[in-house]
Formats: sequence, structure tokens, C-alpha cells
Amino acid sequence: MIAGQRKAHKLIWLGMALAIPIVLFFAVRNLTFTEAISGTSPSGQLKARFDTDRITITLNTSFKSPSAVVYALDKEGKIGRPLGQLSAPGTYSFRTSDKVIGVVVVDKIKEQELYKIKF
Amino acid sequence: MGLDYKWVLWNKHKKTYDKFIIGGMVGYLVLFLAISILTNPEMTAETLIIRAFGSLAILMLHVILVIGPLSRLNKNFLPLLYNRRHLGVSMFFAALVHGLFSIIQFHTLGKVNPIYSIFTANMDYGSLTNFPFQVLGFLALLILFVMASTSHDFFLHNLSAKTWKRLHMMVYLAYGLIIMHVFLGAFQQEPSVFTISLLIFGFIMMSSLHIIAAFQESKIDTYKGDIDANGWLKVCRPEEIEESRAKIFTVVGERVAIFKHESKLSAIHNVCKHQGGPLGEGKIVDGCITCPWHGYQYLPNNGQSPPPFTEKVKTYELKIEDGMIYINPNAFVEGTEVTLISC
Repeated sequence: MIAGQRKAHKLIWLGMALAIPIVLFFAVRNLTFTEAISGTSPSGQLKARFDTDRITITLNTSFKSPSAVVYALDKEGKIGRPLGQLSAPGTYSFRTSDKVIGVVVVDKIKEQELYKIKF
Repeated sequence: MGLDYKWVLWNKHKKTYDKFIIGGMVGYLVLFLAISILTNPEMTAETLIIRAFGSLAILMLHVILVIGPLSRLNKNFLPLLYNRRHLGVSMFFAALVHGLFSIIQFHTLGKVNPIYSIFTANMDYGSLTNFPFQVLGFLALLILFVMASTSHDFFLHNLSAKTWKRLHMMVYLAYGLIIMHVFLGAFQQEPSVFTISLLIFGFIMMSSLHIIAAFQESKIDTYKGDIDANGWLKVCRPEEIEESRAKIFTVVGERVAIFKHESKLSAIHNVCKHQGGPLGEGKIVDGCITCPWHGYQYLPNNGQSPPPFTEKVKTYELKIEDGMIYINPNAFVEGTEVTLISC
């Protein structure tokens, strides 16, 4: 490397060593850390986890029902707003600003409750 | 060195280097998959692939970026520099698999164009905490693509070494974007103290090594030796230079390598025309100064690559007085013949 390139490398790394920690600090300073709570359906088909502002649902096998909508259970145990739909097996992630104590999965076509999981 | 452009100029060392790259990558992926399946059996195949290749790419990027300062601080790491280009291209392919699977998994199921979806799926651009981290990863992947696709001597020669180097220094921007991509992604998707600690450790290690090496190099760059009445710089005694090796000195802000070979001294500019390797850290092989990075060669008496190659570096005039070597700080134009002085 020529002298100019060595100087450029030095300035870049000094800049990054200062800038990245500052950006990271401002990115995390508003976060609140609470302990995650979770629950599993009796059959083990469904697992739900609530962490800070996020509900993560792991669906191990497909539902036989044609429709599966997830609702949050509010702190009084009532069905709150819909979070989204479940279809193929996999991990689903839903953001919520409310305090939730569990989730309910409902077949909206048959109006039938499939699962209720309380954390 | 090669006269025509080939996809890869294979040799025994490159093949060995690449075997280590492939072995390391496969070994890491197998280990990652085994640990993930054992500890988190519910994880889907797509998520496994995304995480395995993403973590492999960032690990490889750290290795690539520490090779430079490590070899400045300790010459034992120099062999790692030899085929860093292949390591870089392999890292891009790992990042590409991560990127493609992420786009397929998260952005192809809707009605909008997947690329448009990356930029619009999360519009929280005003928040640092909830910033759309996938955009950062996508931009980093674009930079890595440009770098990987120009990682060839064809582009190095046609863009000029200076432009090529500037282009490839964008890796630092890509690194910054990737750090933020992983950091924000880890917080927004699945907060993991392990991932974040590892990332912070990697960043501290990387920036410390680069800054230590940079300050060490600055010290050498600002060195001012004794100058005689004619403006010649006093450097060292001939016996201080090893046979067929060189000592490097700073002359008017630039580095010059003074070689000793068969009791003759010569001085050339220290920077190889290929990728800027430090010629003074190489040795004389078959009568030619040989760059330690990729084996480019120059003749000590005129700084020219032996025919049919055409690379040239600046040469310098030397003299010996009272057993001391002096160098004329005014360089000759590249490829100028000089008289070798006996010592």
C-alpha cells in the first residue's frame, strides 16, 4: 500500500471504532428486557412464546382445519385483536404492543376454537 | 504472474489454500446444522439454511479482514494473504445463499416484487431500534457482489490499481452495514445474548487489530533519518541487510526497499504494481525481487518485471560512505536502469 492508502485505512478504522458503538448504543437504549414466557398445546402441535413485544408461534404440523387465525389474549383473558394466520408448519412471528397472557387459534370458517394457550 | 487472463491461475499453493477454504466451510456448516438440530429441533430447514450461511459469511468476513493487520503485526500470517481473493469470493457465495433464501422465505409470498418488498416490508426508517435491518444486509450484499465480480486481474489491470483498491476498500462499508444488519436483526427477531456478545467481541478484536497496525505503520511513515550535505538519506550498514533480502526505509513519505544480493545493493519502491504488496518483505528468487503476496517479480537493477511482463517500479540511487549506505531521496522514473553498488 502507498502512504495515502495507509492513512485512509487508519482514518476509516478510527471512524468505525467511534461510530458503530454510538449507533449501537442509540439502537438499544430504548429496549426493555423482560423474561420470555411460553406455552405449548397439549398435543405438542403448537408452541407459543411471548418476549417483550413479540409473539413467536412454532407450528410443527399443519392444521386439518382450512382456516387458522391467531388472536392475542389480553391481560383479562379476553380475545383481543387478530395477530395473523397460520398455514404451513414453521415459525411465525407477530409484533404486539399490548401485554398478552396467551394466544387463541380459531377456525374462522367453522367459528371453532382450535387451541388456547396461556403462558 | 500471467500474460493472458484466465478464470483462475491455478498452482499448488492456491489448490491447497482452496482445499482449506472448502473444508472449513463444509466443516462449519455441518457443525452448525448438527448443533442447531440438537438444540432447536423445531427450526425449519429454510431458517437453518439462512442462519447457517449467514453466520458462516460473517465469520469468513472477520477472518478476511483480520488477515491484513495480523500479517502487518506478525509475518507468520503472510501465507494467509496469498489467496485471500478466493476466500473473499467464497464468502460472497455464502452471503448470497443467505440473502437468496431470506428473500425467498420472507419476500416472495406477497404480490409485490421481492426487492421492492425488502425496502417496504418494514417502513420504520425513523427508528434506530426497529430500523429495517434487511435493507442493510441487502446493500452489503450488493457491495460484496461488486467486489467479488471484480476480484480478478482483468479488472485490476483495466481499472488501475488505485481505482481497484478504492473500490475494494468498500468492504469496510459492507462490514459496517453487516454489523448493524446482524445486531438489529438479532434484537428484532430473536434476542440472543450469545450472538450479540460474539458480534461485539468480533468488532472489538477487528477494530483494535486494525488500529494497532495502523499506528505502527504511521510510526514508520513519519520516520525521518539523517540527511547529509547533498540531501542523501543515511540508512544503515550493508551488514544489517540479510543476503537476498531487504530492509525497508521511509524516503520522502514513501517506502523504499534496499536489497542485498551477491554483495550488490539496489533500491526500489516498496509497493508491488499488482496489489500493492510490500516488496521489501519478499526475497530475491532466481535473481528477481519476488513479492511476498502473489509472487510478482522485478529485476533489482531496473525495477522492471522480466520480459515478457511489463510491470515497472521506481528505482533509487545508492552510495556507500564510511561503511554506511546512503540513498538519494529523488526517485528515478519507473523502470530506470541503475548501477548496483558493491558492498
